[in-house]
Amino acid sequence: MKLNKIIAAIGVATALTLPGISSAALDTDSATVSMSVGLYASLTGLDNFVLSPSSTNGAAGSIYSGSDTFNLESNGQVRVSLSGGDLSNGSDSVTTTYEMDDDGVTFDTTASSIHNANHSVSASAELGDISSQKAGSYSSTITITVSAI
Amino acid sequence: MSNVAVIQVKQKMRLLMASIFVACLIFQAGLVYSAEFAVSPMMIEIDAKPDQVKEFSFNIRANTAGRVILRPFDMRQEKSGHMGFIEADLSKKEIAASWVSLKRDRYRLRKGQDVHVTGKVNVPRKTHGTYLVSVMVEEDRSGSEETGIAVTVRYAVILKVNVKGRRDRAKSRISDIDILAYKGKLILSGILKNQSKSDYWVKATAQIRDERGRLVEKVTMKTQSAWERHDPKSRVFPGAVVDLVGPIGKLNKPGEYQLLLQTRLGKHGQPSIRKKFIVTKEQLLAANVVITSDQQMLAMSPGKLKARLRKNNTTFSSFTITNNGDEEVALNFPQWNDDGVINKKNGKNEKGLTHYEFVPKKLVLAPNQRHSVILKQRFQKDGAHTVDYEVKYIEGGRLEADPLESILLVKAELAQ
Repeated sequence: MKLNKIIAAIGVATALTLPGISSAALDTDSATVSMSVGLYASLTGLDNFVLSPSSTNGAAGSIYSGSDTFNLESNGQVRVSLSGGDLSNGSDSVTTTYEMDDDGVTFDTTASSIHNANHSVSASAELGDISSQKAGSYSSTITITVSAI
Repeated sequence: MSNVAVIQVKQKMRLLMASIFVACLIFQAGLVYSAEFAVSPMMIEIDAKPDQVKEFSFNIRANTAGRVILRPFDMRQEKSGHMGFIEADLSKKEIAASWVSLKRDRYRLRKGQDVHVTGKVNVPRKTHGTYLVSVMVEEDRSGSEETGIAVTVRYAVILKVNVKGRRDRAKSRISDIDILAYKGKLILSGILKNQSKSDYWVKATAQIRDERGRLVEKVTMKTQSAWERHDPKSRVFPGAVVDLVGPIGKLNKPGEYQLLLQTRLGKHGQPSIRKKFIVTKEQLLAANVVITSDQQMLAMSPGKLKARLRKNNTTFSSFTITNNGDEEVALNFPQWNDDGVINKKNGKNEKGLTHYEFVPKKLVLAPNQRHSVILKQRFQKDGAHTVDYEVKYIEGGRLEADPLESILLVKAELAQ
C-alpha cells in the first residue's frame, strides 16, 4: 500500500515535469476588453438672482447689478454659452448686459481634459430717465447652454 | 400752493416712484432654485443610409427633483465657427431636426433618479452627407411666474448623422482675403465656405513673401472657435460660411507683398490662391507694429565699439560685420576728409579727432558672410571723445541701375 502511494506520487510528479504538460497550461487565449466613455456634463448651483443698485438709488443712469456662481463638471471639453434679453415688465424694458467669468458670454473648457470648476454669471441693467420705465416688477430669462461643440 | 412748493412735491413724487421701482427690482425678485440635471453622452455619432431608421439613446440624471422637457433643435455653424441652436419648424422635412422622434419628451424626476431617453432618426430617402441635430434637455418651467433674472440651464445632446450616399467631392471656396489691422494687431483674414456635403477639419496656411520673393512669414488661419478651443484645425460643417483669421507677427515694413494660401479639407487639397497686397505705413501703425529699417540686415559685433585710448592718444578697435540677408551687400566705409563722421552739434568733424581710418575701406559680403573690420583713431591731447560714423551700403545693388543706399551706424565709444 505504502509502495503504491509512492509509485503514484512519482507518476504525478513525472507528469507535471514533462514538457507540454502542466496543470495550469490546459488552454490559453486572449481577448481585448474595451470601453467607451461618453461625454458627460453637469452644471449645478445656479439659481435665479436679483439686481441691486451699485450707484445712486433710482437716479437716471443708475446701474443695477447682480451675479451668481455655478459649478461645471465634465469629463471632456464642453462649450458653455449664455444668452438673455433685457429686463422687461411687458411694456417697458431696461438695457441689460450679461457676462460669464467677467469675460464675455461664452467659454470653452480645456481640450482633452476633465473639468470641475466654479464659474460666475453676472448681469447689469442701466436705468434710462426716471420717466422712461414704470415702477413695478421687471424680469428676464437667461439661458445657459452646455454643448459638446 | 406756491410754484416752489409744487415743484418740490413733484420732485418728491419722482423720487418716491423711483424708490418703488428699485424696491420692486430688489424685493419682489425672490430666490427660485433651478432643478439640476446631468446628461451623458453629450455627442452621439450615427452612421446611416438614406431611407433608414436609426435609434439613439442618452441618460439624464436628476441632481434635484424637477420636470424636464426635450425638444429637437436645428444647428447652424456661425461665421465664428461656433454652433448656433435654432428652434426649427419641425413640419419642414428638409430640416434635419424634423427627422428626430422621441419616445417621450417630458419627464418628472425625483432627486437622484436616472432616466434612459430613447429616440429615432428617420433619414429621408434622397439624402447624403453630414447633418447635425441637437436634442435640447432643459427644465420645464412653464406655468411658473418669476421676477428678476430667471436662469434656465439646458444641455444640447448633439446627434451627428453621417448619411452614406454617392461619393461627395470635398470642395470649398475662399474669398475676401485681406491683411487688416484689428484690435491693435495685424491679421490675415478670409472667408471660407464648405461646399461639400460632409464636415471636414480644415487646415489653411498662408505664405507671405516680400516684393523680392523672400519669405516673411507662414500664417496659420483658423476660425475664432478653433483658436479659442486650441484646436489645431478648424471644423467646418456642410454649407457653413466661416471667417478664417491668423495673426501676422513678422511683417514690419510697408510695401508690396505676395500671398500664397494653401487649404486642405481633411486629406483633400484645395486649389491654391495667390494674391498681392500693399501694406501701408498707416496699417502698420494702426496695428502697433514697430516699423524696422534695413539696418537689421547687417549685424555688428560688438554692437558698440569700445575705443580704448592709448598713451599716444590713439585708439585701435576691431569689430565683425555679418550679412544676415539673402543678397550680397557692398559697404563703403568713410574716409578722412569726407562726411562720414556725425557731429551732433554742427554737422562737421568734431574738434579733437585728427585722423581716422577704417581697414578695409570697402567690403563686399555675400549672404551669411562675415568679415572683421579695424578702426584706428587719433585725437588731440585731451581731445578724445566718442565718435559716430555713417557707413553706407548697398544691398545686392551693384548690378541695379538705381540701387537703394542704406546707412549702418558705427559708434566708437571712448573707454578710458
